[in-house]
Amino acid sequence: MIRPLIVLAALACMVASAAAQSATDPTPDDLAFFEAQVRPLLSDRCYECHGEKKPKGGLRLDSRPGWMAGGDTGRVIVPGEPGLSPLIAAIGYKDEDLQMPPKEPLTAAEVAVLTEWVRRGAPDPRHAVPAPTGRAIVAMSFEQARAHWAFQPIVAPAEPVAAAGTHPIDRFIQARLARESLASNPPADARTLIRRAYVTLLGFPPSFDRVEQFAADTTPEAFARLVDLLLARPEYGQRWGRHWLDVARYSDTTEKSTDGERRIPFAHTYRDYVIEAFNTDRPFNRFIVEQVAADRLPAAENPDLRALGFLTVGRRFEGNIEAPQLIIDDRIDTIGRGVLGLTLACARCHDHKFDAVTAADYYALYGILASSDDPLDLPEVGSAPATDAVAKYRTARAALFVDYDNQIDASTARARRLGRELAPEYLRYLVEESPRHRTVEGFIPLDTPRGLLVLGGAPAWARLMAESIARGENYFLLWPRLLEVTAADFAAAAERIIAAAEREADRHYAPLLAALREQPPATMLDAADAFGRVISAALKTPDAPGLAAVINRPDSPLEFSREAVAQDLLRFVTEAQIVARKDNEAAAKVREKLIVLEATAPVERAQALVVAGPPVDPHVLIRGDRHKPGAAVPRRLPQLLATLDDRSFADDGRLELARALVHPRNPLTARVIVNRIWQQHFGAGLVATADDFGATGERPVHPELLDHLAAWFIAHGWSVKALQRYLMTSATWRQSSAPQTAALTRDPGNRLLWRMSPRRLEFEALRDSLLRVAGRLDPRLGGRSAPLDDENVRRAVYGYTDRFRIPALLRNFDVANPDQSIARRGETTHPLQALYFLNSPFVRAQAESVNRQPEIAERLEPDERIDALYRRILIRRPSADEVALARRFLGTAPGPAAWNQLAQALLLSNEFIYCD
Amino acid sequence: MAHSSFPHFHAPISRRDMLRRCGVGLGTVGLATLLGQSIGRAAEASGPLAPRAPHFRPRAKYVIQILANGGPAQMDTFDPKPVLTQYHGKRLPIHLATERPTSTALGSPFKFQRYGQSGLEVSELFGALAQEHADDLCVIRSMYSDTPIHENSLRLMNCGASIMARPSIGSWITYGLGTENQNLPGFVVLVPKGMPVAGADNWQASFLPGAYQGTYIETQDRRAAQLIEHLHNPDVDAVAQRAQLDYAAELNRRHQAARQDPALEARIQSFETAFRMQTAATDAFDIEREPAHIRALYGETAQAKQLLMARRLVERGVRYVQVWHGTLQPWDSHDNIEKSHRRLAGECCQGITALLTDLKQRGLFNDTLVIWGGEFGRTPTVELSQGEKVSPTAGRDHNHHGFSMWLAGGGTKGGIVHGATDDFGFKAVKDRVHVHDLQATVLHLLGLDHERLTYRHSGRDFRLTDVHGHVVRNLIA
Repeated sequence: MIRPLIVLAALACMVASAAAQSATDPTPDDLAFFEAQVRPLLSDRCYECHGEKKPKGGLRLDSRPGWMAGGDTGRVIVPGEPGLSPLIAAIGYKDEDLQMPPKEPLTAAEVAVLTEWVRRGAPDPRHAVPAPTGRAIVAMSFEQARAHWAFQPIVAPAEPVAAAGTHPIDRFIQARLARESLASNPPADARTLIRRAYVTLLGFPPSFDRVEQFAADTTPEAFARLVDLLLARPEYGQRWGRHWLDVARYSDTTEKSTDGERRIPFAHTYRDYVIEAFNTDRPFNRFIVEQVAADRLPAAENPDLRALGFLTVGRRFEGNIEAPQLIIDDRIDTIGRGVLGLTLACARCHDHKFDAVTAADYYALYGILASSDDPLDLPEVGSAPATDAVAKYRTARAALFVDYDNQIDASTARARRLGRELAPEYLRYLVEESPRHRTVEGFIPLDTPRGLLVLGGAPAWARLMAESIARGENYFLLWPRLLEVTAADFAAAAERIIAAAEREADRHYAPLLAALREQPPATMLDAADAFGRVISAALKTPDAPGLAAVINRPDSPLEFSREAVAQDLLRFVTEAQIVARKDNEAAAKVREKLIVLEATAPVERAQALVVAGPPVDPHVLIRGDRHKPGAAVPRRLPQLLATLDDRSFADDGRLELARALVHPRNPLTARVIVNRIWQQHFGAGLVATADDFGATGERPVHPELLDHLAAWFIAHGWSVKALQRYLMTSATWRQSSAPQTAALTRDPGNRLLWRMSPRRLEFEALRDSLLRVAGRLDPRLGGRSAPLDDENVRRAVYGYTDRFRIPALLRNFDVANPDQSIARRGETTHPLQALYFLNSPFVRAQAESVNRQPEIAERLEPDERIDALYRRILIRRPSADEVALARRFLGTAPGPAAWNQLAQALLLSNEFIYCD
Repeated sequence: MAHSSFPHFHAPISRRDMLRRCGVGLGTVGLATLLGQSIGRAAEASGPLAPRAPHFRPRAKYVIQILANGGPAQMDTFDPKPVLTQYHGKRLPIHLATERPTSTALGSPFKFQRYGQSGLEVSELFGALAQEHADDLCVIRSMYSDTPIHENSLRLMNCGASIMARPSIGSWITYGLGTENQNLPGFVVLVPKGMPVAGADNWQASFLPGAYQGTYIETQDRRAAQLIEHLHNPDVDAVAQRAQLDYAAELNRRHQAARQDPALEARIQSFETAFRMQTAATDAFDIEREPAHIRALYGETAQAKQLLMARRLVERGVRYVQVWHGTLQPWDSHDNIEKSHRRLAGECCQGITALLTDLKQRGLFNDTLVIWGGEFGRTPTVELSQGEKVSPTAGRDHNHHGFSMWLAGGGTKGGIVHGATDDFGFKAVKDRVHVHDLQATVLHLLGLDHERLTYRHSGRDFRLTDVHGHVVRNLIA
């Protein structure tokens, strides 16, 4: 079985057994041969680079498990098959790219020893891996790595025995608490419970009257009814959509860092899709499929293209030569950590060190995701009104697309023209590129007296000449022959070649022979100039048959395709540029105009993906280096999911990937989302590392409960609302948050849930709550984002998120960094937050607004007004003591300033921003 | 004072949570010294910015990083290249790829001269600095970076990774050491106006807790009290605000009484600190409070004022101050290097000279590591204009193959030159120092082992230098 091995740090005692299983028993003769000839050779010539200290190419030759695990390029020895063993090819200096040892080749006798050793089946008693720096390395097979708990099927476990009528969640929690001699808290009181429910589901507190109404309802179903009512409110999606937007690293801009245009013009349609999906309780499996592959779903399923923002609202890595790879890496990471709870992106450079994910898995996914493009022409969604503004927008937009098409045409024509005009320079460039004839060290200059070259030009000429020769034409026959000559005796050798050609002149291109004869070349550059002169002359009469016709063939490499030019225009830096920099800039200007227009468009579009060209056939990139392609891999699922679908995909495979993510037998997705929802309800997940269910993540504190919930969730149609109702109706969720002295010592982090963990409002909930009690919160749904300035009274989820300029305020309050999927926000307390509460115009304005509310402004008697303020802000009545305290603060005859100060003090109190 | 800000914990938090939340990575060697403390004491003094002991004896306590952002030309500042001058106008024997096409050699238009006992050669652009401080400068002429792209090289220089979002060096250092003045931010970023290229990435906390994010301050044309957002409340005087805080504190104490939650206590304390910060920060940022001769020493430019502000900040115990020359990439002299570089050096040379003088006269020089440099250097060859015709202008393209930076104070060797570029200043060839090596060295000077200062994120332990970096011993006194 050829399968990459995964190296894991573990106990040394496992080494021998793991290796022994795979070792064949060497004969005494083989062992003697190894000890006498092979070991000394390996030790002298190989260990220095392939030993325990930073083994080159990831390969160790100092143990059997070392060479069995192979290196970055895969296996190096096939026991018994020297011809199939890359190691033997390398020491034989047979492969131009891989010659070992690099400086001083082995002698023929030494090569023969190692070849014989491999032929004998590579007998090797060195089973134990020498331990580097105190730690042992064990070669763990893929099968062993996949034995990890999170990769096992989800099976609903039996519920622990408890009194009839006990909620299943409570059975699991209570059983565990009982084992630890702990007990859960009694239920929270009605007032605490309704505030907790509001904050959890809607992100702001209830009104005082609503609290009283709930407290007065003593029917047994009162709480379940409340939960249903809250789940049905539109503000629910605004609250819960935000949690998912953290996972989706949502932003309204790319990270482009100059002050240029960087808006993602329709990012907000993705945000609105997410909020709607929560509000309509779109089944989570459907939600994931749409976000990964809405464009690949059959039209009959009425897919919502806005969902694709999940993939497209990430960073764009502009200015990076690797941008195309990095964009896909970001998407793999978001799917990996966001949906599967797996750090898949670790496998970009090497097989995952700890999880059952190989580099081949990564590049198989890469092929799937890289087969799609972000189109300029984004699909319209919804129905736009037939207004003048819309008509005007459509006209302007169509005109920009015409401009852009013209730009592509012009760039294509220019690229084709310059490719021909600068033929002499490109031939000189090819000479400089050849190891034998180069005259400059380092990078070959692109500037020439007649103009700037592009990097894609010389390769096109090389191909043109090679294809011409392959067709049996004679125009370039002498080029490779001359190029083969060494620089030292070029003049003489060239003279011989030219003379020989003249002897069979009818087989050669006469104008070239004439040119070479006229100025006999002393260097290859001279020869290139002769070719250049002949080509330039031929191109002056393009209609003539012959050389010009060859250069101008429809399939000529200089006939750069419109598609290739269009692709090139999208990238500022590439390694095979075919358009001039100024074409690039002109195209960027048109695209920028388009973004400016789209960013205020009176219609909605989806930040969609399209599968346009043929799918990408991926290769493993050794150490993630795009210059070092390794083995080809088909587009397929990671091996870990191969039991769900083990096909290699003929098409791009994105829909198949999406379906596998939510396959009922996928062991990860349901566990991961159930855990995320649990985390938002209880403060911490059952698995504390919500985006890492792999070997480096934390193990679940209640594994059976996690599986119970995951199975329950799938059985209930992946309904998020049903799950939330299920969680919230448990006694565990409804218990009080009061401290218990003994439990605080035993389980200070409350991992076993002996109480409800108190929580602090996150930034969005805090801002929404301030506006809500100030009577100013605008609960409208949807639309474009706007900066969260002091006048913006919409819910914070509609705030404009600019990756390049994240307001300090948001970072101060631990808002999720939109550059990557965030599993759990930080929760820090520091004085810059306090300054915001004390001094910001926003908080002060809300304090004033509270005082303007009729129910408060109309109260003239101070005690009554204090009472009204408490009811409005803290949703309860003050005690007599608290009234007295407030009176003392207000002093006699308090004016508006004092009342605003009082309201502000209540708004910045711990009671307001913490929830029991 | 040092105990006044706390991270938020749920009560009473476990030791494990506590260490994680106050930013100490677990499952790693992390901050062994903190782990050694009794939990009670650690919790008591463990605001995210509370001072923490380094891994070993530090040479420096504070850092002032002066960014000549855009990339100053080494052959015009600290790396004389007479051979390049001989090639002026001709094709060099070596040519390297940079961001844009470049052509023939461009000799430096500036004169170099030897200064000080060390005989350090510096161009006229920084002659005044060398005149006073040649023997204080630890010049590295063999810096190199990974790419000729501003954003990537800035991220690499400041965050140790050119592409991905990673915590900045100032965040790592405040995470490792905390800061000495709890009434001021621990990591301050000064920009005259606007944002440098790559923006807040340059001072991001990324996956470290938000408290380690650099506090970004636009310094130009603003009064001290307005520099930090929400530092003052125009409607309330200090007496009234004190009364309001006392009232709120009483409400919070009653609320806390039944809950025994240190998170609640931490928030109470954060208001007290904020109250003091209003005065302390106004004072720290107010350079008008400096005597006239000190202000005259630094000069009047926006850059000079920032440098004076930086000195006031480290004097008050701020751990890390990043001082940017200006918005976007001012040192990016693609054309007319003579005029642009002369103007840029003119804007900052006096201020930098004054900073070193001032740190010395206050006895802060040995405790303060000053770092000067850009994200990369510039080519010895002329950059070509954007057209297809060659029309050389007297400017240089970005160059990551080799460039110069210097360090001063903070336990570095003065008056030395480390490493060298080739004859033209194109590529670092001798004793090459990668950006990660510089970062390892900076952490080392602060008493931090760059391989042990780690944080667990996304399934693995991250560090500033990724898996690279070697401390450059020769730079250390």
